[in-house]
Amino acid sequence: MTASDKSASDKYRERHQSKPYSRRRAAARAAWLQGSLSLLVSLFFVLPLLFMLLGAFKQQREVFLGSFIPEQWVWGNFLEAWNGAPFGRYFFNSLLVSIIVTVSVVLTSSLAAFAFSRMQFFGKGLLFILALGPLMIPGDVLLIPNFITIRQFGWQNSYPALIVPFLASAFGIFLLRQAFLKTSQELEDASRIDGATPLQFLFRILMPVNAPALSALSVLTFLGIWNALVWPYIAISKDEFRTVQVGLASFTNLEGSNVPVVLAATTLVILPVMVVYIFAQKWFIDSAASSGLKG
Amino acid sequence: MSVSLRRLGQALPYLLPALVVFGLFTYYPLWNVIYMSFTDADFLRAPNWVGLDNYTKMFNAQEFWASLTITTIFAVGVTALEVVLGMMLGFLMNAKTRVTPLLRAAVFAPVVISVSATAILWLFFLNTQAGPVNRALALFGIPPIGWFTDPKIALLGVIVVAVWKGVGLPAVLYLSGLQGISRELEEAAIVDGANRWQVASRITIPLLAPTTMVVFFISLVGTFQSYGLVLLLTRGGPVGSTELLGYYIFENAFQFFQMGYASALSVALFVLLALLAWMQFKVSERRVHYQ
Repeated sequence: MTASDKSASDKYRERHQSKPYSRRRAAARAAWLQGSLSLLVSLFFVLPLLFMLLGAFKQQREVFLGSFIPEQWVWGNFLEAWNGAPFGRYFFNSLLVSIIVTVSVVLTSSLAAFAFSRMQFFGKGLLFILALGPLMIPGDVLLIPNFITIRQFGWQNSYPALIVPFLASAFGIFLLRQAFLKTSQELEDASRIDGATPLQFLFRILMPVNAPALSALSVLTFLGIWNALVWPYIAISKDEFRTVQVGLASFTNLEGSNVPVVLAATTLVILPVMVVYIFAQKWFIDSAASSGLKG
Repeated sequence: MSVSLRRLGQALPYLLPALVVFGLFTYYPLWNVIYMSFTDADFLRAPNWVGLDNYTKMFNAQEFWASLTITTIFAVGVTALEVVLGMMLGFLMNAKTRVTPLLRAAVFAPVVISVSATAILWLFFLNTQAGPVNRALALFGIPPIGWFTDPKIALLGVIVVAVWKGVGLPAVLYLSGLQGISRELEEAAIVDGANRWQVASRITIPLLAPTTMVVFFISLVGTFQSYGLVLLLTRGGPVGSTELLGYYIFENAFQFFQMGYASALSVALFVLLALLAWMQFKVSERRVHYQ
């Protein structure tokens, strides 16, 4: 074997290896680019939250002028925020209202979806249109007449004002009906042979089998009510019945207030939702993605 | 007939809970808002019938047309950004890098944060005097920008916040759209020598058309009726530059107590949204699906 032979075989090997090698390198470069772009974009989304969190620990004089990291971590801001408004009461109100509405929406939607997916009856088409109609009628259009209704009922500044208008959901009926229609008829036949009543079939079989749809509806309903602003803002004027969001909304005048304390209050309000979100991210995202199907 | 009537009797107990709520808080108020739009209702006196007066006032009110223009700019701006950025984010979230889980979590996080909290943290972040953004810009010698205080810029400021808060949903919808596309067509195109950009623009994006349509209408309908941010960020100001139709209604109803006029405005908003729904129906009828 001569030297020239060797170099020829090297050249051969080089030519045939260089292509996959460079392609691999290009792929690595693309992944690196995607990775750094992802990091940059993530930063953009997280940055306002990060500044809020850092600001919540700062002293009042350094929040706008000082460095990025607090000179001194002032945990007292959170205590001051908590005591600055009846946040305990606000949280209790929000929790109470959100839980009652969520349980009720799951129940009323399941019942209606059961009738629409498993029964034949006179006037079904018309009743179905009436049940889904609210999807087409935006809540903002109904703000004024509903405000007048709750005044007539004497419900201004009360829990029913926050709860009763939301006890049923057209979206919930739509979502669950889709799910129930996909559940096999055999299950129903089998349970009927075993002597189950329709209600027993609904609660013991149909609902448990469709747990994913029920959980998506629950998380969307809970979050919607927990985060609701405009209706509770209008319907409630007494501190006793304010929800967390309405309570927090009264802090929006930054000028002339203790900014770190306001940021601490905001952090306190965001924290519970964020903790649940971080641990159950997939649940939130999948539920929201399923809601997109309604469009 | 009698059998199916009896069956109706069996079905009604299942339907009534929902239908009673809808009757009291959707259908009755819909009728009521239309009725009130023909009256001079306020909180003080019994309402009088005034015929079309409120509608005449509305069509002659400069504020109404201004708020309609602002609402359109806001809705179209936010929708365009949510479609374009949502799609780009969807592509990026579909990559498999070590940062991707972080990206997915970060992009969707604002969706679960409330409007109140969003408003406060952006009022701080974009504060004119010394918010972090303006301070960073000052390092490059850029004078402070009045994100929510300059009439020329405030609407843009609100759009930025709305997109930050809202784009997570379109991104997630695009991500699941992308995951639903079969790889075969893209691979076939690559074998035929198409480059990355050609594959995206000629194959992947057209295949995402159903998702784009859903995102487009969800964003458009959502932004046409969302004014919670404006309520807390700018209160329609400065000098009415962020006066969305929804906020204009809110102001007339709950600050000026002109319930009759505000009802006429609500009916106008309802008609607008019904038009959008009708458009969506027409477009979806034409089928944008490639399957």
